[in-house]
Amino acid sequence: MIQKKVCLVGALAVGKTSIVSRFVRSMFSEQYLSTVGVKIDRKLVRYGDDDVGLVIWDLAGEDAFEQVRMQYLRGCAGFIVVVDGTRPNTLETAMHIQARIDTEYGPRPFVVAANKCDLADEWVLRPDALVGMTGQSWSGIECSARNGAGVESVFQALTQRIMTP
Amino acid sequence: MNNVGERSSSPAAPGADTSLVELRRVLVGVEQRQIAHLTERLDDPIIRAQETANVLVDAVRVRTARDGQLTEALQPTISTALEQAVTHDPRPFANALFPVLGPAIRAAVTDMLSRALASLDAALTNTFSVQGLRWRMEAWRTGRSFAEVVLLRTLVYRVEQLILIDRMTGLPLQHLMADDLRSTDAAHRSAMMSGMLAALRDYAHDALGARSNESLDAFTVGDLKVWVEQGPRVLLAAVIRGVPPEEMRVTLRECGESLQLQFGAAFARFDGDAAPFVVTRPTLERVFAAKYSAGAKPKSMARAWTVVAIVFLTLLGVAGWWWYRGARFGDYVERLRAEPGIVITEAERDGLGFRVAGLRDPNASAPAMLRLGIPLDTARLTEQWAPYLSLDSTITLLRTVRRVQPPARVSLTLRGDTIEAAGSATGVWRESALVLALSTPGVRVWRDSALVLDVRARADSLAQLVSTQPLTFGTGASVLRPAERERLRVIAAQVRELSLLVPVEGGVLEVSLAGFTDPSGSDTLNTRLARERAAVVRAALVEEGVADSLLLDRTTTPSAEARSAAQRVTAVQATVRWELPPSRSPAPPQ
Repeated sequence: MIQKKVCLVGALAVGKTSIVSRFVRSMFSEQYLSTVGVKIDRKLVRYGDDDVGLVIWDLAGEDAFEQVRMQYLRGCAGFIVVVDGTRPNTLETAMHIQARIDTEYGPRPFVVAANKCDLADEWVLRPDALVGMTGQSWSGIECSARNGAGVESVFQALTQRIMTP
Repeated sequence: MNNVGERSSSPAAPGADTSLVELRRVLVGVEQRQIAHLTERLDDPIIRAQETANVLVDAVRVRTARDGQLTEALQPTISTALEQAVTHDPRPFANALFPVLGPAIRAAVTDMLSRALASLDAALTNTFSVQGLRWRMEAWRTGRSFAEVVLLRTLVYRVEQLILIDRMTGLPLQHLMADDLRSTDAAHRSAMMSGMLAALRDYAHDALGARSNESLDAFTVGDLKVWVEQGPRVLLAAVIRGVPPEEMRVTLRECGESLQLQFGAAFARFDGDAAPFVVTRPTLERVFAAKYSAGAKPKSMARAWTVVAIVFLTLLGVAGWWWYRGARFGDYVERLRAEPGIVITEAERDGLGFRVAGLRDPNASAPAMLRLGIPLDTARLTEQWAPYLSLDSTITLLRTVRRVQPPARVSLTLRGDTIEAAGSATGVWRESALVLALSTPGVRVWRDSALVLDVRARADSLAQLVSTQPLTFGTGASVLRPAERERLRVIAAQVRELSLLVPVEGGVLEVSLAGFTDPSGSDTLNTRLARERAAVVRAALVEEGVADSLLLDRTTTPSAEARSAAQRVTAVQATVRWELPPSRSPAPPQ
């Protein structure tokens, strides 16, 4: 069975760990616990007729004082950049992270996950805004770790990009 | 095909300057011939095959020594060839493997038995020793399993897990675990462990500002140590419980080097599929080791052998006891079979006990009596007897005797189906006995020609005979002479018969003795001599079977006239007194 290392990166408190928890264990907790360093999990994803084992590295969020440690991304087959749809500045952080990864390891498949779409009243981000905001052809998937909407799609999309030659 | 030499020497260019050709031959003729020779070697497949064969062996050796790529390159071809050959005809392989398989199987079986015995021994040691009890207490107190406590207390070290990790991705290539740690989510744990180890190394390296040649080689978690060996492409991490020897580090390093040498190229091509690295397992398994303290691994297996011997002797004892009980039951059944009036229809073991069933005549001996002297546990003996009438002669006679109840002086015998009565009896008894006997199963004829029925006449006659036979003594003697002794035996027999006959008709028998002397001598002396003579006869009669209670000593001091008439004798006087009227005359015998 093929195994792939994938990483979740993004600003602090955008919901990376919650997305992994929802995806791997179908669970969500309202309690916020900041990730220290990295947490690793694993889940099988269907790709065609085969299973692909995603080994998911959930990296600590980035803020003004702490940057994502690039060495954790070494050897990753792809990554998910998580942004908080209620906090526009998290997209800026995501762009910085993506750029650094690109510089460090070259182009890698990635997916932007716009989390917290369940908070419709506070939502300020639109998927089509990604292109304009980044100047690149980013494609984002709205998702919610709280109710699970779009979470599977995020990982399926990343798997598709990784496995497609 | 034309070659360079042929072209150069052929007259292909008519009119060409022959001198130029000659000049060419002189200047480059040697080289032309060499080129022609080389061309021939290159173009001729036979020559090329021969030349390749000359260097092939050395080439294989050189390349194999250089790296493992030749082996890797040949592996698919060899595997396919072997597969096709086995599919086509497996017999040559079976024949080739046969001499290897036998010893290998024997070795495996021996090893398995040895392990089982060692395991038994360890279990016994831990179960019955004081230390074992202490460990059980600890297990109970701490809530751990007994096996876990034993392991912790006796373990010096044990390599519990060995993970081969791709350095670049942190993905596991292989993960070996001790048998007791294996679980269904092994793949999940494997991925998480290898990922975290890789992350931990990166973090430690980055956070501590280590140089490029420095890395996290070891860390400790409780009783566990994690040793990491770093290769160019892979990490080899060993999770070790206890205190490993320093040589373990060398072993780990050698294993890593060996893996790099064998699979370096494959490591470089890793793209997420760990399946090809199953082949690394034999190399990794060499690192798997454990050492226990002497207490847990005794030097000899004496204890195990002792237990095996005890078990064997116990089984032997049980088998002996089983056989002994069966043999005693067999003795009992033999006695039953030999007993008249008993027929065995079933005799068998019934669980832990025995069961015997059959037919039994009510006149046959009681089974309980037949069991006397045979040590049988009657609590585990089930008997079922159905009544029946036996025509066995012994039982028929016994049945007849019980029915007719003959008096003591009557004997009954059975010859075929004929009952013969002998002795003396009353006519009344004879009549009732006749009817009862002839109605007894197995008896058809009654004979009593030897049965005396005129009891009174016989008794009176005998009494008279007894009373007229005084026993004589020598002068002054009180010892019976031989001839008198013979006469006394006759008298004794007559008295015995009387004692049987007289009660038949309700009479009373009295036998008196009186000693006498001749007139010579003093009265005192004669009186004593007379008493002695009576006493001697009395003792002799008792000795011959006459009941002492029948005998009455009537010796007296003789008067003067009696003395003159007396002789040197002891007189025996039998007196019969009939107190009832005579019974009815007997019927003639049938």
